[in-house]
Amino acid sequence: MECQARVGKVRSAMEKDNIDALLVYSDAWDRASTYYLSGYNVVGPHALMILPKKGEASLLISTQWDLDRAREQTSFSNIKASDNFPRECRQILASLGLQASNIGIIGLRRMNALLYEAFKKELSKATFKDVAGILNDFMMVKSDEEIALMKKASEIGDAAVEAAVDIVKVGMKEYELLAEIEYVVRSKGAEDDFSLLGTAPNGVGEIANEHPPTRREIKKGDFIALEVSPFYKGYLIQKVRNIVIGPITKDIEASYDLYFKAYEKGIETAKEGVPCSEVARAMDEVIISAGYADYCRPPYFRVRGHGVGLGLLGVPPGSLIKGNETKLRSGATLAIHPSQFLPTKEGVMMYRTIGDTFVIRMEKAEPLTKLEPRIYSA
Amino acid sequence: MMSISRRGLLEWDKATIPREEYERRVESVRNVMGKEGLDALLIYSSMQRTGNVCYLTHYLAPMAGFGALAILPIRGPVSLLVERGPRDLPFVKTLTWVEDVRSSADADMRVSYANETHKILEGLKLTDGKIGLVGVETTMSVPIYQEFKQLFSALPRTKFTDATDFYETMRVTKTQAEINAIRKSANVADSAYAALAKNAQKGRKEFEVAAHIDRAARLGGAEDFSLLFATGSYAEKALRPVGDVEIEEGSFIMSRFLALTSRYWAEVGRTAIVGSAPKEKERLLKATRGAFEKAVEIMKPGVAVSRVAKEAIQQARAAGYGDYVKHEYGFGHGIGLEQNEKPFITEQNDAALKSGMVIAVCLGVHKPKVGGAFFSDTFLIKDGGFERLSKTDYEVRIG
Repeated sequence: MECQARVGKVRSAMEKDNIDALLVYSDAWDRASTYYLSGYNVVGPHALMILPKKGEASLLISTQWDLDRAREQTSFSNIKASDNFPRECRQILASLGLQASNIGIIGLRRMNALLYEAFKKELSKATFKDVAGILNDFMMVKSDEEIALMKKASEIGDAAVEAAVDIVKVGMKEYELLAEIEYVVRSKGAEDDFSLLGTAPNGVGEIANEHPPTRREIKKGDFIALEVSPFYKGYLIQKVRNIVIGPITKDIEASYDLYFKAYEKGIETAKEGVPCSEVARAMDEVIISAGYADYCRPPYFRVRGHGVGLGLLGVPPGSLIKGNETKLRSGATLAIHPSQFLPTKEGVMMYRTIGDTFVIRMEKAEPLTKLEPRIYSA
Repeated sequence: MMSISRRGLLEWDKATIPREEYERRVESVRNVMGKEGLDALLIYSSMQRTGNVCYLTHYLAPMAGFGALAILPIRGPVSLLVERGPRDLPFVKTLTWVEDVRSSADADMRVSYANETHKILEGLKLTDGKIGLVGVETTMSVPIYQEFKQLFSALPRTKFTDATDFYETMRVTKTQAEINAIRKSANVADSAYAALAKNAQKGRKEFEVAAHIDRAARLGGAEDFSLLFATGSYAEKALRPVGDVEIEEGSFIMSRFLALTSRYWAEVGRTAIVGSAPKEKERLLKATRGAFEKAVEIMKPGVAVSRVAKEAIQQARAAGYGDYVKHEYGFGHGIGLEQNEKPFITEQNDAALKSGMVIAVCLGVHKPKVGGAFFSDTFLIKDGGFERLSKTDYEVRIG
């Protein structure tokens, strides 16, 4: 872990923003912030890192039985288990003379409203400011070590896609297929996985898109939209591929043309300095120019991709979507996927997808995957 | 360690929990609402605490950050607002009996509840009534609550009051359908344990064994599955997420499994020995198991849960391991729609066991330089005693 250097950068940003102490909050489902800065991977309900502008940081965890592991994972000497974070936090800040200071807080989207009220009550003379953006800026740009972890995650994802093509057979249920895919992912060292799939005849139907697995049996002629997202040492990558149960005819190939074109356009556009909205617009344009302007909105698609890295939610630089003007920076990691529903000639909705994870560089987006963007036949 | 998403089979298994079960729940909740003078309930759940919305609707938020709000008027249709984009609504509708399902998130997953809830309450002519809030402040994240609060100012004549306690109390004793679901989950946890016994071998790494365990649970139909492990020298300290420790001759494999099916959790925890272990380790294992079994034996309706905790400690002490009991784990808890529910089994909690409660009891003992042992099971409290729902043998030997 590179926590010390990260803390140094965050402290510089705190100084610029006139923040005297930073509270970094995570829960067991969104562990990214505290993990990034402390190295502790939360298992209990939640954890809080308290970073004063000067002096040693403290870590509060909610599971006393996990203290030994927390001590192994971090270099902090002030680690404590507590069932009352606000009170403990007040005591720590008071000992530093910071109980009435400017407090920056990261992780409000995971903290419940009652707990936040308790913080404000305990530290009634302090001012609170949501400064999630501080960490987003740093977390967007990955170090070589982080990219290496994501490459490993991508290798695992590649193996999972190839295994899926081998494993899938007619009569298998969606949840059985995903159980087998996740077995591959975990046996290769991924600690978690966020895989989804959609299976439907010809990829047509209103739940042909990716979702948690159901009991539906896979049939001849089905299209499987498979989204594999392994986590390796906290870092997630995402890849989306299609598996056709049966031969890939020219018509099937043709039905993917537009999606592959949009995907290529997205990859071509995503580079240093380009806003996320611009990558989305470039991909939209391919779909619009084919006469589908009406379908470039929900519910036909959600986003054209999103940041990937530590954690799952709201990972910087955010979504590839109209309105997100965050500029891509070299070292940002991004899932690009033009996944969407479009009408067939018969007027029913078909779902097609393709996608993978890229590192943004000065001149181009570099793929982490070794897999070709293609349709598989099984 | 909790997974980032519910990863397994996600469906509404109507054979286990039929629609009539929800009709009965709605009726029971409305009866209490009537007594409390409440015109509607606004019930919120996040993925961290899914129970309250699930209890009424069967909807389970599939991944982190995706909460939901159920609106239950004293009369009229139930509405469900989910933090999913419109594209996902057709799938969401397969998971619930509620017909009025709406999206509360935009394409970028920005959540808003105030306007839609206002419209629904207006449609029900309940804008000057008394409305109970369930799990709103305790579960809603800060930004979602900030937005939701606009509802309070938009409805100045409405009286809002917290109704979490009465609602959650209704969940403490389980119906037959709920017990059936927990029984199913206990079977899955047992089959996962069988996969551990089969696949844990000397030289294999923890994560390799865990992959087999997870696969067995998922093929058994688990909606979700979580496990904690401790092997090698870590068994002297505490359970932890699966790592890359290699399994060695003579070591303990401590484990705690939680399996979810039909929205209900069950727990099983065991300690296996790999090959032959020194006598001191065998003694610790036998003593922990004995203390656990004796503590469990006293359970029946009317017994205070504190007595179960005290009995476990007393028995461990009598066997010479009193100083090594891991009090931080607690000694168990109610289990159902959430992994940890009331009553919490501690030395201090004098809440009485009741017929129909389902509880997980656990005991962990860790002795430095020797190792550790952990046992847990899921029990149904019945008149005169209990039934153990998880069936895995207490003695597991590997190799």
